[in-house]
Amino acid sequence: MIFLQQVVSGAAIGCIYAMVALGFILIYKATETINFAQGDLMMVGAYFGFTAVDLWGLPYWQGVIVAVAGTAVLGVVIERVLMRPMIGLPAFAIVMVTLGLGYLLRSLVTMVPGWGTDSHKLTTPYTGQVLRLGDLVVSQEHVVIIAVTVVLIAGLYLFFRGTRTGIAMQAASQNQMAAGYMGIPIRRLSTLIWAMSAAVAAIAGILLAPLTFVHAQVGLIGIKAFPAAVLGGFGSMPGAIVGGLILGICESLAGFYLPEGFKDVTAYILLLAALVFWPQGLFGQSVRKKV
Amino acid sequence: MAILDVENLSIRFGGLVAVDQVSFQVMPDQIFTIIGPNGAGKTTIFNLISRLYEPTSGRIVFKGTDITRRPPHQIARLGMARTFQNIELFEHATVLDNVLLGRHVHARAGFLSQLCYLPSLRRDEKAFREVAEGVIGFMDLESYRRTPIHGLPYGIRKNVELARALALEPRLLLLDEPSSGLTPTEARALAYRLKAIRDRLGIAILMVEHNLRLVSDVSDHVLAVNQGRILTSGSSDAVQRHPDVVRAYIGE
Amino acid sequence: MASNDLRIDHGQDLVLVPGRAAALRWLLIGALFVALPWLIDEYFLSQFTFICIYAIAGLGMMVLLGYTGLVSFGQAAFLAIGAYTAGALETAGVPFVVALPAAGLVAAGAGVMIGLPALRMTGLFLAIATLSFAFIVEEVITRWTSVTRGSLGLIMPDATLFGWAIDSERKFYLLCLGILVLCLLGVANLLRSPIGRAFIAIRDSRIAAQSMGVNLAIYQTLSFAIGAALTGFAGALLAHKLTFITPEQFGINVSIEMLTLVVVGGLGSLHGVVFGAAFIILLPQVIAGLRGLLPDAIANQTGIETAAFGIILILFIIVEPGGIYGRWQSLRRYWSEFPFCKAGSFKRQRSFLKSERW
Repeated sequence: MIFLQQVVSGAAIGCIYAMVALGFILIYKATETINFAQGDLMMVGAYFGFTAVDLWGLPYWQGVIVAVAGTAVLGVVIERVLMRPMIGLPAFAIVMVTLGLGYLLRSLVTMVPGWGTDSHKLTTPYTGQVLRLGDLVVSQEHVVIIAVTVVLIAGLYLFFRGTRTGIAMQAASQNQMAAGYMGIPIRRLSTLIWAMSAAVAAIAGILLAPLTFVHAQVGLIGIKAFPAAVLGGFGSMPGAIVGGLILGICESLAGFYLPEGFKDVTAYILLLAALVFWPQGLFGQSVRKKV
Repeated sequence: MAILDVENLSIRFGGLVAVDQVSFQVMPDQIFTIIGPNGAGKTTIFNLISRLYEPTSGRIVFKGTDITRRPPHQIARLGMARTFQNIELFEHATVLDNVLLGRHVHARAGFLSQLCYLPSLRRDEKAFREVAEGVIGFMDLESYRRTPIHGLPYGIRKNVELARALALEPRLLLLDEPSSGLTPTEARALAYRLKAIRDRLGIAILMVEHNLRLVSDVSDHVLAVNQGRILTSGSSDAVQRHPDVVRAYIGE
Repeated sequence: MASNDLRIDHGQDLVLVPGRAAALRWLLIGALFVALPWLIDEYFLSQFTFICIYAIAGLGMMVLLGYTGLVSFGQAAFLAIGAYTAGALETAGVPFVVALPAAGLVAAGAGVMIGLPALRMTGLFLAIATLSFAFIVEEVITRWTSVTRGSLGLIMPDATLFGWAIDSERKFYLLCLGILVLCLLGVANLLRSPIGRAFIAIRDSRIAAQSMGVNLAIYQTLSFAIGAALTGFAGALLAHKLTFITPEQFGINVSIEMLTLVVVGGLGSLHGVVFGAAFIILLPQVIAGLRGLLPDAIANQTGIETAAFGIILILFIIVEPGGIYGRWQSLRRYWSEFPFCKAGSFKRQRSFLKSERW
């Protein structure tokens, strides 16, 4: 029973990793670069949620919508101001810019009046409640995280399979130039991708906030989403979700059954093992350079 | 004795058989040309010979050594150098440094003598530069010696790539479309150089080429391929007149 | 500039410093840095010591990223390994002259360990693999308390050089300067040798490098070993400079500082290492100095250094991909041709060292 308990709470954290990893992959597929500030977008999303709900006193669900929309707008601004001038530069340069952006976001939030350097608590209607399934006791926070993740994934799936924009995005991620020649507005899609990826990050941040408090360093959890994305083969959205879940569950089990210290590095040990023994990830495909 | 002996070489990418049971021999004093329409598998044959791709079946023998399973960097050591269809130069290095990399397989100095730049290394480096200068002169690149590659015009880059391959002092040179992107004047200079490489330097050449005039001009032996299979081989004129070759180029 | 262009002998290509004028210039610069301890006060000298140490560490990163095109997001791990190797050995009574090379060697060993599996990875995966490696190293250091004393921290004894105690800031600065110069000379030598050309070949085109006979496995591992060893040396020196080390001092931020150092300094140049190190060390000082001039509302913000760091990193990549060294070179070109400079010659170049593996 304890084992199952650990698995469920691990899966909940795994969902957070999966959402951040999803953000990485959305941007990676669209621009072939990694947004190292993804975790920091998540942090900003949590701050927006805290502002809307606790500072402005909006009802929780309205506050969440405002926060997610606000973060999406921030994503658009980032794409327009920072990413557009980078078109044509190597991916490494873009990665460095997102690293710089991460630093900038982490310091800027501490300068906002009302936010500052203190930790804050995001109030939710479900905090402190538990769900009992037989002997299994699951805290309501975990239930909400898992449920929202499922809904989010279903939504993304429908979007990419069923809508014109979603299919256009898929086409653009396969071959940007060809998609451009077919009349797909690549630049507008890139903006949209950043908005979506920021929104997903904000949702993750708001869901995580009741468990960890809201502070400037909360985005560092995003680093653990790398292993999740890599386990899933970097480039596959189902892969990212499975990778995130595996990671969350392993971490939670390692924290319980292994000596102290292992929990924090489980993700990285798993990742290195995966890279050495399974370089293409669970859902990856190999690409060969043409000469 | 053939310098390069390719026997029943095949490679399959997924379900596609890109090269199918190809066999041919290159003699030490030959310019051997592979022709064929786009997508015929010419470059794939090259990548198989220089060991960038793993063949599904078949054998490659170079100078009497079976190289079918050797890693690519050992191929150069045995005396085979190549150029690339889309030019693979070291963009941020100078022309001289690019050419000097051709001497890499001849470098003997150990780590310590490189770290301290000992006299033994100094001697080596001087000798390398003499060879490199010879090649640079042969390719008419003197005025670009210290220019970084990025920013050089296309034709010059092509020459640098050939110079780098020559600096290795190979026995066999693999040229992937040496005349593509060259002006007619540059292509004529190339024809002259290819013959000089064969006659004066005694290096065999295996090349993929589209410019049929150049092919007729320099080739000792021509091999026509289409869809991964050999159509015919023989003298340049005979191959270019062969009905299968004409059909492959013009279509039915 | 023009005077170096005429060569009549291959030997002229083989000297590190071409021409008397350049030699004299370097001599003067060297003399200035050696005289520095008697010219400025101890606090500023201490900053220069840090610059030397960071430059040595950055040199390792430069060999890896700037010359071989291999990205490492885990340079802090090598720094930590160097620091703790020196710390553990010297606490056990091993003299500094033995502990310093040992620190480099152990770090090089770790570099080979991460370099070998890294052979099959592309830039992105390599970045994440090295990042993971750094987290694991940090955790191991925290937990391996019998050697490292974990988060309690390790107190470093004074370094001694053949019985001569390095007990003042002046002596320690000169020691670091000396080691930096040796490292720079060594790397400069390697770079103009077959090894360096092989590194650059791997950076610019792995396929061509392979086809010209470069064994990727050996040279990439070697690059990791050299990069790690240099950073390991710096770690040993840093441990002495700080006199007290804890695992938290070698977190991911340090790895990112190292990346920023080479990018801001200028990828693919040895000058860039020194410029970049100066940037990393002096930026907080400059900001501290500016605080007095700013309105209180801004000056009292704690995050201002981090923000400046982020903004400058972004600006350098977008506006001056050649780094400080690139900017300096175009300035020099401008003055050497003044007043005959063409309008186009001063235009910024949007070229960035590519790393094919991305």
